[in-house]
Amino acid sequence: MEAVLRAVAMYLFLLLVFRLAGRRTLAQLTSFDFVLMLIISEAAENAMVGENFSVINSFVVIMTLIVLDILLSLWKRRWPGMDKWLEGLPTVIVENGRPLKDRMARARVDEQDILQAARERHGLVRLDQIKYAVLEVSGGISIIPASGRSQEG
Amino acid sequence: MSEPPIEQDLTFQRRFWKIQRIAWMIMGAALVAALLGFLGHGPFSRATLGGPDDPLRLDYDRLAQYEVASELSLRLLAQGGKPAAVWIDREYLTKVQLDGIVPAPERTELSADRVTYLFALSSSGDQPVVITLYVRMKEAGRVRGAIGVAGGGSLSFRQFVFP
Repeated sequence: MEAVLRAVAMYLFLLLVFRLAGRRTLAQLTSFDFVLMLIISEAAENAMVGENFSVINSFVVIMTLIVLDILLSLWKRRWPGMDKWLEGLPTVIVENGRPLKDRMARARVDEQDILQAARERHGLVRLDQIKYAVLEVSGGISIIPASGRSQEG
Repeated sequence: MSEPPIEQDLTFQRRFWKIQRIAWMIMGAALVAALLGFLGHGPFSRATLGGPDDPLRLDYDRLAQYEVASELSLRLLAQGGKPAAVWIDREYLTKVQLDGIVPAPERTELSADRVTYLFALSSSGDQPVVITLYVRMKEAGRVRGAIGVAGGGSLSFRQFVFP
């Protein structure tokens, strides 16, 4: 019985902590972020499974997590307003080539990150080639090139 | 400048960023608390009952964590020759797992409400001796216990076990 409570507590805690850590925390898998994910999963496992090596306990923990995930997704559909709180909304950070500095500062995104996304996705090299840059819910940055220009070498 | 055709809610976003900052401060404070032992097993969590002149002195973890090893250190004044009879209440022993007692008792006696451990003492006069009980907390929440010496006073202590 305790396994279920521990799994629920761990799931909700991780949800809360990552939501509050901000979008940039899990955005890109640089080696630093990769290490973070690995270590966090180890730390979470200890508390959920402990010294219980039984297969049935693993089944219970895994099922609890999946059920929680399903419940959360059902809840999001019934109350679409929850989406804002659970996952957030996109934020425009560059508008018509002009970086919106205060939003970038709050979201902890710098110009380098935006230019990198611009190069990766559209082969753009300058901010003025970007119509909109949007910090998405996932933490990634999507680029909408200025009209008439894209794949400029 | 027209509004970009992207669904964003700036009022909500700014409010959320503020909540985020508050949350970071709370997390930082929680870390400091943990380092200081407020969440168990640190400098603050160790407590002592009884002063240097008292016949019985107990060092214990007032804040402990579930399934983590903890120590109860009892210092008592021995009367050389007679075995020291240290008792612990049975209620407490049901809430912890006793991993060991150092030094090992010579004998264990059971009664309805307590378990008494008898330790042989060397006959070189009155001197303070220390007995350590290694326990592992098996129940989360508030735990109460009592420990004492037969005919020599007792100490009751309280621990809070974080799950």
